[in-house]
Amino acid sequence: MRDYTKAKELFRDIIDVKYYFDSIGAEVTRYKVKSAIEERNAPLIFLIGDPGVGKSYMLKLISKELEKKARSIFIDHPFFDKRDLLKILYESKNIAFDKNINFNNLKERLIKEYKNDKHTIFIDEAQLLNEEQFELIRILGDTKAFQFVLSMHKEEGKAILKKKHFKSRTKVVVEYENLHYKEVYRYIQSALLLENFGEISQMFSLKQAKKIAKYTDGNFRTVKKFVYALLSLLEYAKMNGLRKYSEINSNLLQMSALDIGVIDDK
Amino acid sequence: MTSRAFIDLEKRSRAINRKRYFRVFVILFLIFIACAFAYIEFIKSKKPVLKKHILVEKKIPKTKKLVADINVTKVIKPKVDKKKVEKIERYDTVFLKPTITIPKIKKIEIKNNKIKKKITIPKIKEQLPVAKKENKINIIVKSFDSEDSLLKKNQVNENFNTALNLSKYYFKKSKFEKAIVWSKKANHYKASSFEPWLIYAKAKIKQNKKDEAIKAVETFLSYYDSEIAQKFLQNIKGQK
Repeated sequence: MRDYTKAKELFRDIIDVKYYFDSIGAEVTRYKVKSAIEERNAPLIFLIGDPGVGKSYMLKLISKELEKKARSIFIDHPFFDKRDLLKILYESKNIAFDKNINFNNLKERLIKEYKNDKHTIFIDEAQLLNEEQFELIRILGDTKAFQFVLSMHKEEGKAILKKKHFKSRTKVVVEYENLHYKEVYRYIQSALLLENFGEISQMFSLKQAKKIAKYTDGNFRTVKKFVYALLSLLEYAKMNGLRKYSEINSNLLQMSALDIGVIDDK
Repeated sequence: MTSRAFIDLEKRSRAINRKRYFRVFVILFLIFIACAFAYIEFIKSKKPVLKKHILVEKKIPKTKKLVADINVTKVIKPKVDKKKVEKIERYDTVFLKPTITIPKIKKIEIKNNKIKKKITIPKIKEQLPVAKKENKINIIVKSFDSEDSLLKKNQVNENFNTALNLSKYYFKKSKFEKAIVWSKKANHYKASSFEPWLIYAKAKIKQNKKDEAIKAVETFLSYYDSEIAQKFLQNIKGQK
């Protein structure tokens, strides 16, 4: 029984750390970031990669794994004021944050509080931070009480790394690579088989996975969106008795690519 | 997925396919054109090309002038044998066999320390071969020789003597046109002999064409050094 309605839900663009796909790129990134955190020889760790490659997922996964060993704070949204970061750090130590206190005093007190413990702070979408906030991160990093893991988009990240705040600082840069077509194939297969959609997983061939990888450029998020769109089309075809589209073919793949906007027909 | 969205995607996909097929068709067409063009060029290149040395015009050495160039005579066909007539016609434009090559000699002159090249042709007489000494030439044909017998002899074994005899015969019979024709033919066999020239020149004189006769003898003398010819020329010129 091909239940496309349920199967497509596996490919929704949500971060669920329960399911981790161990692609080569993911494994290499995970190992490098974890090693850098454990060795603590660099206060700044940069995780760069294309949007949708799985940086946020990786950041969340590592922070979850570290929760048990050391103090880690995950900030998944960019903060707009430099005091926001201090507030988050104060709150995580259960210290009352008084916004009326001078910024420098707040900072000195925070450093004092955190001096004895070592904390890893994960900041997603760090490319959105401004100059002032980067400067604060640099200062806090220099105290060696804090270690920052910043995930950024590849292009913007490379530009930020050239800035004066980080240029001369000791840092670790980890680049997250896109998926190979064989990994795309393995991902689709494993995701479907894990939830007992064996019949649907059998519909995908390596050749089709190669085509999907070509359309999506091996981007993890785009692959998920693509498969979701494809299963939606198969669901519609099944419901309307369109036998022409009962199996995955090049037409359906092209329609899926058009649906998610990875090919331009205008 | 709504049906409208599905149909729209289907349409867009078809349009993309059409564009793709068209592009493939255009590419294939261009490849075909290119191949056809290349094939035509290949076929053209395969055609035999004349060798360079064939294309280059051969340098023809300066040869003797033909009497035929000087005088064009209409041929009167002999009535005896049609085959013979055809043979005679073949020689009506050939009189003097071209055998002598006069080379061009380069002379280098130096004037005021400047080299001036001059190409000069040496005086013909300096290098002319001497014609075989012939005794006084008389046009004698044996009385018992008839036209038929002479033609028959000529037909059996055509050579200088048979042609010359016929030429003499016709001259004696005052058939000057025929005499000229056969003198040309005799000349074809032996260009260095003055006899055919003599008959030719005498026949021309009889036809009141002294100028042509003088020209013919002069032409002979330009190639061969002959006392008889020289005397004959002086004789004609004196008469003139």
